[in-house]
Amino acid sequence: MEKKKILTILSELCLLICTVVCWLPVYYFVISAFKLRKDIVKYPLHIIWERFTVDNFSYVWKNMKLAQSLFNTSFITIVTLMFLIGVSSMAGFALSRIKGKFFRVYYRANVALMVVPFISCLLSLVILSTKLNLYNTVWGCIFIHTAWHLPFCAFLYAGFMGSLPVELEEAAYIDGCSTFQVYFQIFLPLLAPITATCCIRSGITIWNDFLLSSTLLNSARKPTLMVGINSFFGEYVSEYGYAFAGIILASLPISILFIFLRKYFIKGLTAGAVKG
Amino acid sequence: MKKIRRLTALLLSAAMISSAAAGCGSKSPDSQADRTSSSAPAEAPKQSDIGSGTGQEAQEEVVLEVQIVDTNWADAWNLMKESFESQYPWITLESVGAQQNIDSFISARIAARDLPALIKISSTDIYLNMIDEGYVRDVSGLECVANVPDKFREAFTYNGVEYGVTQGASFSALYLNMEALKEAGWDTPPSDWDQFIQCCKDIKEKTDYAPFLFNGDHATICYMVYELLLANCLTSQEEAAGYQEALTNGTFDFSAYPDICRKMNELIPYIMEGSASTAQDDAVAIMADGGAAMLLGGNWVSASALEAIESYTGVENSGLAIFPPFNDPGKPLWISTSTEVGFGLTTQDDPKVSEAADLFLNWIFEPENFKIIQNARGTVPVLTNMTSDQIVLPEGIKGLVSEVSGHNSVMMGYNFYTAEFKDGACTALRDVYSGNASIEDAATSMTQLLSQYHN
Amino acid sequence: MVIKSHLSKRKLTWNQKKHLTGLLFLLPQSAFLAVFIVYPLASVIFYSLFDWNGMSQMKFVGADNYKLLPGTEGFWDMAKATVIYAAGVTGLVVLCGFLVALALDKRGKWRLNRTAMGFFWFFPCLLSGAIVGIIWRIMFNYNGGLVNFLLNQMGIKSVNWLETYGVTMAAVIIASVWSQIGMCAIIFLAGLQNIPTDMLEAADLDGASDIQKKAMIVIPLMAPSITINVITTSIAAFKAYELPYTVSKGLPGYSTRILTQRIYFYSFNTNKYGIASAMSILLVIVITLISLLQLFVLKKREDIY
Repeated sequence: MEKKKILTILSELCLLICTVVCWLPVYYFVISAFKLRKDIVKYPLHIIWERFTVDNFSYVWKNMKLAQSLFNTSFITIVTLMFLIGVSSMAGFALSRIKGKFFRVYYRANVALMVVPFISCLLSLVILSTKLNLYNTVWGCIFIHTAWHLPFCAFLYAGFMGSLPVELEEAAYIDGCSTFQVYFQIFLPLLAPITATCCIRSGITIWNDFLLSSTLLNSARKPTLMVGINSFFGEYVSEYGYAFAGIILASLPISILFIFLRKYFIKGLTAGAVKG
Repeated sequence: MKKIRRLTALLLSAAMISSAAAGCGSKSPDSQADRTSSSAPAEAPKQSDIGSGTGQEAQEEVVLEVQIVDTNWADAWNLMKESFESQYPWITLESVGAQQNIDSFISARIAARDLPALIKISSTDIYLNMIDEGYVRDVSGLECVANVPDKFREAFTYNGVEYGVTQGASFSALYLNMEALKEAGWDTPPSDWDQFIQCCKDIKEKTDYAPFLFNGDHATICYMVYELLLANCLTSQEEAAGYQEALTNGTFDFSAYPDICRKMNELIPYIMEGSASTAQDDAVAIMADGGAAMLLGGNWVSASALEAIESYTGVENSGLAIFPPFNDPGKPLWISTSTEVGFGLTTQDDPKVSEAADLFLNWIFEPENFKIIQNARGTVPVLTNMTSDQIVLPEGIKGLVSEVSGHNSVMMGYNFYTAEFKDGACTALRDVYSGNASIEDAATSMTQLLSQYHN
Repeated sequence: MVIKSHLSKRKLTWNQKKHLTGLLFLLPQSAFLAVFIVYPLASVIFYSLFDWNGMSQMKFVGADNYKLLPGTEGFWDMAKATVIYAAGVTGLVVLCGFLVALALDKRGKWRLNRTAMGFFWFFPCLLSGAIVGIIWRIMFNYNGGLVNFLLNQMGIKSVNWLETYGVTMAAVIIASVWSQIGMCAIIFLAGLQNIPTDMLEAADLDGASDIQKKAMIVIPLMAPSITINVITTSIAAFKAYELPYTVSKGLPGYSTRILTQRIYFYSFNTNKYGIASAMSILLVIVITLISLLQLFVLKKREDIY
């Protein structure tokens, strides 16, 4: 038993060291956000209390139009997620609970669309959004994000609903419920974990999106966070403190959200992803 | 009851679909409304107290997208915007693309057929294509060009279209940390190539500074190192003209000057490690950290570079700007100069926007307004109607500005680039600077690239 | 009985009605997909047959753009870089993710808090690719970067991470792996926790060692998670754009310029829409082939176990 205890402690030590190494970059950018450039370069790992500063944050807040870009990004993310959940849960229901050749083929097509790389359609999406008058509008971003996350979310929903027992709906059908009712009354309430998974997986990507918003929303009045930081960093590359402060402010909301939703997220993953 | 439920469910899904469909169709009026409504409250009070005398309050409101702001004078932009908007209350300025890669910004806007009313413009292929396709308006009818010397106007004429108004002339400069040079035993700056190399050597041996730094991440500067070596191999202005023509036609042979290779090989050991991937502001910051003794850059970094050097040494006027002394001993000095990137007007569907853009362009080039841009960038003045008290250049670069015209010069390479050549040539050159490839190989591949991709 | 009475009243059978409702359920999704994925994809194929710079008249050139592809600057370097990057990232992410998941799976006395550990490992996944790129570019900086600082502290000479052939690719891969381990580990962890405990207990009774248990029971049971992770990670690696670009900008030479960067370059830096579209189609084909191949091979392995 003694031997086992030592082994356990050793393996935990190993894990701890790996975790510390993994978190070194995080530690580095977090403390650097409170330092001046010359200290970041000279003493990258020390916290220098004498020259502790929050100027970086106030500068970023003022110059990055942070409040505005925070609003834009949250708006895009939340509205997209609402569309996404509504549309993909309906599709997932149809794909998993209704049997038929068409639905099987559609499911395959849906999976095939998951592998299409976004960047290869970027150019034609720009041209398309111009034709639809969506260029440089938040709604263009929302619709495109929704569409590109749909296949995966529908896939997750279909996988999750497919794992629910058949008896659930059979009883309802015998009671004379329509398919709509079965979906609304029986399935919707059960979807919380997979919805959390979808929200987190797609939410992170949408929140962090750079490629689409930098191409589609490239006007100074509708900045999103990542575009803001990136353009900011592009020019003020030398002031590492600014970049790091911006990074922290931009990642804070999503990190907090993740901590709250974490439990559901893992539950949903267990049910959805692995089975699929 | 059942039916009602079914109905609501149907309606719900129908609403979803139609909202999605309607979203596609109806967004443009929405966004238009959004634009005007958000600008209205800011405008309203101004409109009432100014402009009544000019009788312009009947004008419709216009939002003008401009892509001219440069980070060198971004701080001054808000002031300019305010002062312009108070003068023309119905126009709202909106700066776009200031911090993005110019090429990708303008390309995305071309794809979207949504060009800003005012853009930065130069003679690279993408803009020439735009002129060919009629996306750019002729500026020759505007008042502001009357004050621009003819040679600058000619430089901005292509196929009979005068496509832009230049901001001035730019040139290459070498910023020296004189304290570092003194430490290495140099009280005066080097004046020719041999001295320059000797100076590099002394700095490397006697001090902790890296001798020579440039921001190779910036394509213009990346090519500038090579370009300066090349310029100093030329003997006459005719030869320089020949070089420029060959560069445009794609026939220039980069391998034809063995002197370049020799000099480059002499220089490489003294280039600060990491220069090839250093960005502009980073390079300035390295000077402020005391990392390097000499920085090659354009005139446009003069103010920040000299300030950085002084902030490190703490000695006043310890930063000095000179023309890069890449000339062989006894030979005249050659530098690279260029007309600055100009401001151009794009074709707009809405005549009101075009009108407002004309107004704004004229306004920028009024001496009192233009001095902000020009002094921040330290460019050679372009407007003939500017008075001497309006030109307040950074102290360290003043001397150079007056001497630019006295030197032989070649045009900066970016005037001839196509995007592919720029990308390929800079890739090859960066490999040379970081010691991964020989200059001979790079010259061969640049020759081949140029013959394939030229205007 | 209820069903029957319905049947008699309406012309549609109950099953047909169910199918119709199902189609209605799919309608919003298919509308989105058709407009924003299928149509753009089709137009990319269309554009790839033309010589066009976005402004001029479109000139039909047939398959010329595809023929031009191998001659584009640095094409073969790009192909090599793409494959190395994707293979490196996939291999390392799946391997590290699996190890981390194994370590995190164990609970009990003397062990660290698993919830906190899980969060620590997952945290990098919350950061945007562009941000991770920025952080690592600063850290790999030759002058004043953290990595070289640590190397110097250990008495090793500075390495020019961003300008040395091979090393830069390693730097890009390290940054990508760092940002993806968490997601991979969490999926593995979910799979591990699904393994019935009685199987492991039975193995314990049979006197199996820890390593034996892993090889004989855990890995076969984890096959579906491995399949999922390998496929998703490799697809993501082929699709990656922001992170590799912000770390290395494709330098030195063409050694870290992967396919997505070339697509972006030809779309938005040179305005050669024809070439860009042809490259995009190439990327679509490559990703489809790779994922089909993996699906085939890995599914087969799953069946064997």
